[in-house]
Amino acid sequence: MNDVTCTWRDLFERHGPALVLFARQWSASFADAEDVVQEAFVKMIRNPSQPDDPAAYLFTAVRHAALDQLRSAARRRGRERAVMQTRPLFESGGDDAADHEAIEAAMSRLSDEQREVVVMKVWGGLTFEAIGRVLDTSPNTVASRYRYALSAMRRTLDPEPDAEVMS
Amino acid sequence: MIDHDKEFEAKLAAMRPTRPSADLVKRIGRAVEAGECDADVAPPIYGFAAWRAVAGLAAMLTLAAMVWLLARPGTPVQIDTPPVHVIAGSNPTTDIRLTDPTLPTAGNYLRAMRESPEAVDALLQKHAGLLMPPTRDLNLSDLMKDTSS
Repeated sequence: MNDVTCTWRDLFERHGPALVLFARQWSASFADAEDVVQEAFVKMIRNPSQPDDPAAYLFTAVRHAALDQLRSAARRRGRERAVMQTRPLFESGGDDAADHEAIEAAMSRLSDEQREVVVMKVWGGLTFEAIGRVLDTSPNTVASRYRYALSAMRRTLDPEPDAEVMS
Repeated sequence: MIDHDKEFEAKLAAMRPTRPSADLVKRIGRAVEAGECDADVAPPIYGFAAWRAVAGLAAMLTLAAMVWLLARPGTPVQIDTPPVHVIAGSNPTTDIRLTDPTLPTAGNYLRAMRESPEAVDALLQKHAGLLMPPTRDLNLSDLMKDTSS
């Protein structure tokens, strides 16, 4: 049996939440996102050649599967209805719950390209090089998107510092 | 990266994405451990070389099947008899069959050779008198006459 099968639980433990978060950018519901993540894991395990970077492989597989799912017209219609009914993107933050909601809102205002980079970098722990492989683009482009995304989120959350900088 | 970006990044990293349901782990586990995966993990066929090998194997199997069908005991082997060649003459009644032993055919000569040298001589004599029209002797003066006329 492929060695990946021995470690998929470790990979799931480490990257499962981030992968589901990643899939939720495109999926109609939490359940759909989980389906996509399952598909990615099964695909990796079935892959006869063990990937060099399993995390990057999983993010790539999730991205492809989620986009395929999104292409389905039925799913797209469902997404519009269900997107507001899904679970929160993050675990309850207790005292920081308001912050979490604000950050979720700021994330939702990012472009898809920026959001996926943020998710892979912050919660997936991928390097810019690995993200570049997932997105088939250069690490510099990825780093640039990431910086713009963080700036955009910060501006959304707290526009005043930028106003101070501008003044 | 600017410091406030790093602070913000740390703040984001401190947030924990919602955990997948326990059912998801079970579903993947079932796919892996119940053998469903193993059955499907059969090495997929990749690339042109593999397809070529499959095509070669199919061709060999087809050939083997054909040989087996033709050579299996009890199978009547059909040998096509050669068609009888007919030379059509001006009159249908004068059609001549090449199997006629009186004609100068290769078959008749082979048969005669198998019989005896004398049989070949006899056949040659017979055909020389029968088929070859008498020819005049050629000499240079005749040829010169022919070309001038």
